[in-house]
Amino acid sequence: MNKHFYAYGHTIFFQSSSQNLSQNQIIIHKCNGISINDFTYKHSFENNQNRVIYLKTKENIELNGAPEEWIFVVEDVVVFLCNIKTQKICYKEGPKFSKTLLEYWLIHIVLPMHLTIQNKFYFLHTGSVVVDRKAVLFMGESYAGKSTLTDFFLKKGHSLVSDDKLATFYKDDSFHCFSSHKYHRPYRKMEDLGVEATKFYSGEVNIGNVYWLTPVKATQSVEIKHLSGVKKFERLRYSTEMDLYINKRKRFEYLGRLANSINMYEIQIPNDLNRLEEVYEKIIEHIQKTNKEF
Amino acid sequence: MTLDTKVHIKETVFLQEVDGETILLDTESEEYFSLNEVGSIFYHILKEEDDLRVIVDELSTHFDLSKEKLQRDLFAFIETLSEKKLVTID
Repeated sequence: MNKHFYAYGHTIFFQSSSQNLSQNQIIIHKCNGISINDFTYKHSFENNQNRVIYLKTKENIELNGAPEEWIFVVEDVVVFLCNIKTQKICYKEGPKFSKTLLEYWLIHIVLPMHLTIQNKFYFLHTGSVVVDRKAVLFMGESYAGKSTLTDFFLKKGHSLVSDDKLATFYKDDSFHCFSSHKYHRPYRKMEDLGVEATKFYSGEVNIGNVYWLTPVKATQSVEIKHLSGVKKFERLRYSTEMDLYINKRKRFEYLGRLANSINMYEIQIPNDLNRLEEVYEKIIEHIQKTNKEF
Repeated sequence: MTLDTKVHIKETVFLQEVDGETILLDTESEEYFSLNEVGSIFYHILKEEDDLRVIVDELSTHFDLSKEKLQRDLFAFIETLSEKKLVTID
């Protein structure tokens, strides 16, 4: 495990010293004094990693809003204690703990959850790469081909922005995102961070075109059509990550503003890997065309 | 339902426009509903006024329809909102 790494616009340090932290730094350190029973309210999450996971808070977040302190439990593996004011996260090892599992749960869930509770970012479930200095987003339902298409763009030399969860935010009258982390997983394997992308865009970038991937039969054509209004809103809603019961109104309003701001398109993706080159060329051509229009 | 019925939009419900289309969002149920142009006008007036007689009068300035027809449409709209638990009716 590295001593420090980049994730979601922050530098994450594995250390225990209490240096002065800037707003974009978070310290992770080991501790053993976490008493789970001090946290009364339990919020369970479904997950596809065959683990029992839950968030616990001292107060009812449905009534009191964002908690200052909370724990996230991956049963038998690790318990994270997070404080949104100190920018510090400590963890207690469980019987099945490993550094790989610590890193996986920290990067995939705890950091996005921490940054959501801080109300810093609105996370979207999307693949994303840089095209023409903007983050192009690939959204869709499970098995729509988000990771496959992201991987194809990486092989074409584009930089990775996100393979899974994208940290979006509003600044200077437009929507931006921070790239997620350097790992990319073009396959499905439990509790696995994936492989490091050859080219990773580390930092902030404007959000460009958003493509909603719709799988179609292998013989069908690659078609792109514009999405607007409710159809656009419902796809963004579907792609929302870290949908916690806090700041709900603000988060809905953010989603509405985002929907009004971005250009979203539905693209038919033929179920044939040999036609990915055609999909790629169509998207690049489409981005160049829409960049001229806007 | 009568014209004396009082209708209240839930505090957790708010309206969002996206590309000119109107969406009602309920932050409690996390459900959202789209409104057409007529529904959007009905909703905006209902949000400001809970006296259904006043609402029907206000609607008659927007639509060239009889007050009886507007009343029927308003009641149907309110019942739809009520079924979706977006309003409470006294």
